[in-house]
Amino acid sequence: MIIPFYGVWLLLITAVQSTVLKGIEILSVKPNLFLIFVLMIALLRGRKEGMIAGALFGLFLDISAGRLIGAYGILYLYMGFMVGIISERFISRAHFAFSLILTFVFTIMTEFVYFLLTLTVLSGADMGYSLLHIILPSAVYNTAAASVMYFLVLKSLKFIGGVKIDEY
Amino acid sequence: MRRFFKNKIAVTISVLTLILIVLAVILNSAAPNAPFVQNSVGVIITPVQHLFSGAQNGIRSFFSRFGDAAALSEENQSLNSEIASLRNEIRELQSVKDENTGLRKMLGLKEANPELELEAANLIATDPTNWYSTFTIDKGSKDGISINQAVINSDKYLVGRIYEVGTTWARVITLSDPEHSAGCVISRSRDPGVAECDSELASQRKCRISYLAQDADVIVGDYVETSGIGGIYPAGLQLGKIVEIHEETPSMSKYAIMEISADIDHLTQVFVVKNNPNALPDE
Repeated sequence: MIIPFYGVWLLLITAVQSTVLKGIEILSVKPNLFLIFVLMIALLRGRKEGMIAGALFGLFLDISAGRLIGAYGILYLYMGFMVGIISERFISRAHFAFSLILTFVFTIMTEFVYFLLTLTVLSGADMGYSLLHIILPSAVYNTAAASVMYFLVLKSLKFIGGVKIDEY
Repeated sequence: MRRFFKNKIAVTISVLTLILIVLAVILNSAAPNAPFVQNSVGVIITPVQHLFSGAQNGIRSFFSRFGDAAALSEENQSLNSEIASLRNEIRELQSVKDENTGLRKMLGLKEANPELELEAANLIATDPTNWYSTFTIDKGSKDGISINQAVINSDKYLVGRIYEVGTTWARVITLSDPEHSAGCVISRSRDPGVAECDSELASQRKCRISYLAQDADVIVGDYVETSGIGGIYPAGLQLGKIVEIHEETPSMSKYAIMEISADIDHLTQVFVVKNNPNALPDE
């Protein structure tokens, strides 16, 4: 059941991210469902699946964007690994508020590294502007979207009986 | 070394990193058309995006209504009195009217520019990240679309160019993308420059016209159009209107800020210029 689960989510997120979300942009920024999903999987399913989901979903985001293919793949692979370790070692159970904090922190981290990786592409990109007008608003928006995604991912995981950590 | 290979997590993370690096090398290498993996993903995802792109406009109008809650309430009451079937009929008629307007504009555009070979295309997806300004159209290599063809709107304003092509889809890089640049001229004085963008200007739907000569004859309100130099864009496509002019003291040149004419954020249909009348014939 877990492979169809990822297949459906991958198709849904890839389609929604580049269509419907344009309609709810705020200040030219939209939430990143790929990042939020990987983070939730790493929290709820542990580091191994977090890594695999990170590599797969990141790669699909790269292919959808058509630039620097592999950049988000590698970033989300390591994000899945790190969030998985945090989930397994430092918190006894997946915590809603904690997932929001992690979303905020990891959005800033991954988008900042992505910005550094793409400095050659984004000619004339200004770090201060990008931080204040793209990265920080993305982190806020992702955190808000994560508050909904958390329950959707949790519900769908419970539906297929795929929740590894018992207490929520 | 043996301990490393016994650690499953370390092996998994190393293998995945290696696979992604190999994929990155293959997929990022320059190719005239989208590589197999990207093309396959595009072919699979395009019909789903088509489905969702219809919902996009509905969601946008849904959220825009929160701006005026009081008016919305009144409007809602009056709308409730309408019969559901009548509303459906109006919606259908509106859709036909919009399509008719689009087709008339296309016909007008084709008649006014017989030298341009145009292919109408619908916008089905936008850029999934917050960094770039691209969109996907529902026409691809099977429709004769190829890389670097110019993309215009129904008013003949330049929107961008074809950046990547799949069998049934193509990706368009717009004027406001940080990677885009185009040779241009000031319409009135024919002074040349280069239109390019960065994230800050892109958010205001503006571009920078660089490399203008110190004595270039440019004033606020001047229109900017493609120069035709470079072989990608046909000459004479309007890019925008000058809104600011600045001096660059060290380089003894000046630059201008241009407002982009095409409404890139609200495009639903575009036209791909499949030929370039200014292109030099192949030797």
